[in-house]
Amino acid sequence: MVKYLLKRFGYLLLVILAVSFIVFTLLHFTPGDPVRMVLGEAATEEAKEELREQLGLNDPFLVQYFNYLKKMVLHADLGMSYLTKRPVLTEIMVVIPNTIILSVVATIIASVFGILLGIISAIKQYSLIDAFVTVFALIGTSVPIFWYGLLMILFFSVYLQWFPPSGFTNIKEMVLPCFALGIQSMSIIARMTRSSMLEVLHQDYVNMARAKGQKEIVVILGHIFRNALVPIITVVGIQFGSLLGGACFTEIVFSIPGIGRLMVESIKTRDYPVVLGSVFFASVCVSIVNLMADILYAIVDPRIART
Amino acid sequence: MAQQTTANVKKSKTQLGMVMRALFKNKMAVVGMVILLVLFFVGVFAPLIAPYDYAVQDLQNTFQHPNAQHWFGTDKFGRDIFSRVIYGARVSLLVGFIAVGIAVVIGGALGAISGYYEGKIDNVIMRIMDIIMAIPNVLLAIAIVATLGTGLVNMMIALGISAIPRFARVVRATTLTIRREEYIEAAVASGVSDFQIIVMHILPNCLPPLIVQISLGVADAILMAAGLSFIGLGIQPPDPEWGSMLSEGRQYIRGWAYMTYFPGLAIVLTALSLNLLGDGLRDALDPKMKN
Amino acid sequence: MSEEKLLEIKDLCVTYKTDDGVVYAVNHLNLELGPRETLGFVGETGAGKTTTAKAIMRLLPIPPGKVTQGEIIFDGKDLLKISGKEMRKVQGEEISMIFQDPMTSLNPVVRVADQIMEMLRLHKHYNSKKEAYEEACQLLNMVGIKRERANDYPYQFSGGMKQRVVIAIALACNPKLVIADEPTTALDVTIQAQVLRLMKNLKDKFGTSMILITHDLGVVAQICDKVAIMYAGSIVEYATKEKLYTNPSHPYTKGLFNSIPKLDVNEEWLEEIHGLPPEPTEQIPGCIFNPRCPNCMERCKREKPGITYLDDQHYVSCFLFEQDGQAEKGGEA
Repeated sequence: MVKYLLKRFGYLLLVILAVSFIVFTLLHFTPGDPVRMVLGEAATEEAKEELREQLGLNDPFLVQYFNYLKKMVLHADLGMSYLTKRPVLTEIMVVIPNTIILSVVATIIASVFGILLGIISAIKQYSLIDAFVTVFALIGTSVPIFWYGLLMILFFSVYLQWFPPSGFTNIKEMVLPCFALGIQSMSIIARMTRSSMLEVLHQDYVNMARAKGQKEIVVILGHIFRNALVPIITVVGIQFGSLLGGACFTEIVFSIPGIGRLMVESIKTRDYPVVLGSVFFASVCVSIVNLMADILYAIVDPRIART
Repeated sequence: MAQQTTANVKKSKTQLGMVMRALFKNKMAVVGMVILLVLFFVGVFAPLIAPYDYAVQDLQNTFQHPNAQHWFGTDKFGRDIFSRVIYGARVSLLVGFIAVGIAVVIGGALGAISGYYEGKIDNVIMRIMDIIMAIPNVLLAIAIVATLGTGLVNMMIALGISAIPRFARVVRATTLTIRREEYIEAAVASGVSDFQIIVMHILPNCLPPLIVQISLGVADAILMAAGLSFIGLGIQPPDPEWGSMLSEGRQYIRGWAYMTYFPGLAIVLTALSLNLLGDGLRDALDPKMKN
Repeated sequence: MSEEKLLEIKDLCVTYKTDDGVVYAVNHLNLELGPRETLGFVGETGAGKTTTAKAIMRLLPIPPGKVTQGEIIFDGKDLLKISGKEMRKVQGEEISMIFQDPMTSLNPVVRVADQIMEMLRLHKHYNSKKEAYEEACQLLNMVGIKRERANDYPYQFSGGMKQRVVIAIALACNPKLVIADEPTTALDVTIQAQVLRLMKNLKDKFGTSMILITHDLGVVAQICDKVAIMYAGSIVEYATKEKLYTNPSHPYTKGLFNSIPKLDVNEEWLEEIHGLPPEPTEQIPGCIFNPRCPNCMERCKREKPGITYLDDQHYVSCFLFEQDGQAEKGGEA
């Protein structure tokens, strides 16, 4: 178990390192001169050269990367925003709580309802609810969030006026975006839960549990679901990643100040350090969630940690 | 030898026949195929079908609700939304298929090399793929667009790169299993070059799972292209793109909701048709996977 | 016939609905079993042995499975009629089951002790979890597994060990009847003998009745008192082991015995039963065995044979024996 965890953790560090390299490379080759961005058009050549030297921009590529990495590890420094001249990390920290609330709540909604729907549709295979889940899953992968988000605003905010169409400061404002973001993952989790439940449904140990005189609900949750859990956890883990991507769209549709919107706004203002800092930050979040999923597997299925 | 080849061809033909039969028996897949064919037709013949030019502004007739002249209404510049949706099909299909084409070529090559040679090279390639996959697709595409700049071509490249790992994985998995087959061993033993083996024997066998992934991948790419355009990082107006049309519609959702209906429906129809086809193909190619 | 009956199955019919039509898995099956008796249930794959066992345990997947008629009387109760709650008391406590493949009959993500304790705690009262754990360890010890291994997971056990765990679970609540569905088929030959011996010893020790499902007449010879030969959903011959082995009567039974290699005769080829069992959805007019029967008569193709008693512990369902004048339809004594 310990060996498994260490291995997973080492892998996480490797991924973070690699992502930082990709991000730095992209940043390095983005068009636009950072020095001009910082000093403005009017600066003299000497001032520019001085800053360039000071920022280490004249160093070879790998040296620059190494310095970037060093600053990141030692000082949690992701660079400075061209626009606000504040550290990128500060910019991210201002908006990240909204994104975290949005994606965590959406993940919870998606997992709870998705797993529930999946379990019911697997047990009642070929029933009406099963047909519903199948159609729902299909629609979930084909309807983009930025469209049904708009339709939700149209219906619930403009037409019914139940919820405000934008903002993220109170619970009422959070309902629509959280559900909008959750629905897509919900459909995928429901589909996965259904198929992995169906796979174990007719295993002997399930009948064995029934033959012990166990109650059906315990058989379903304690034996069938427990064994179907590993693929479900994988999907929930993966979904968190794509959810974070979906959060970009949700934040824009519902005008929520979050990391996705920060990223998009920064691209438009060519504030590259913020863009790539955000990408890096988000990727690290996703990797950490995936690590947590890996640890959960090992708890759920003792066979995994053996290797 | 010649006999053997004809036998192989015959077998693959009947195999293809079986797959096609299974595919045509699947009503949902047929629906998907029909929609997709219609969309292709619309995309190719857009100039003939569209009643107006997609970019022509008509400032006398802005914000027209759907009517006999403008079936889907007009936008803030008086452009005909129906025509723009029609031309949008061309753009979306182009972006989807070219982006996936890039990914299939690069991903397929990497996957085949990885699966064929195994060992160190496999390890390196697949770890890189894992790392790319650790970055959420949308974020990776955004990061690449940020570096390259917005626009049609850059978007295709961004979407293509972010889709490479999924194709590399599919091809690698199939290659790994085929690599062990005796006819490959026999080919190696008789001195056929690795390149020839990969092209002649391995890649054809990877086709079935690859086709499924292509169908699903194009759907994803089209959805993501629309998404990037929606947030203003893809195709820029006045070029017609469903996602950017939605983004315009969003500003006028109170009062002119029709502007968001039609481009969105077009996106859904396209993605749905490809997903239906992909699912149908998967069931037809691998009946065991069905439940 | 034994005086007291623990289990009596009357005219049981089970069908499955499939895409290809209705499968008649069990057809008018009659069976009885006394306390402490061991009944061997022999037949080819698909003969309906497991379906019968699942019907007794009420484990048939419904739908597509369905008991269309019949009664299963166990200890005075009709198991097909009692409520789900009553049935759950019977399952495990009075009847327990050993499944065919030990590889799949233990839950892979639960420690073996917990799987035994699940059974114990469902049917017995314990003051503490520790007490139940203690008993689980004793049960493991009884089947020859050291208590140190109680906290291991199934994947850490070999096939034979797993089947021992399953046996421990099955006997945990000292049931009146154990149904063992090909308990040794999935095991290595050397392990098979060990497991069989263990089952026989424990059965004798606890005075448990047993239904042993198998297609191996050798296994039957080792531990059974009575044997029922099943073919295509029906019992074609039923007898005590001695009678069956000395005087196999039904043409199918004879065929089965002929297909076992004999040590004392030098055989070039084993005799086989020609043809294949009927397709499950096929309904054969007349005797179900007539297409493969070497003694097939005109009558066999039109009528279904009733039950003919050769003596009070041996019956056969075949027209060949009816002329003796003891023919009796329906099997009622």
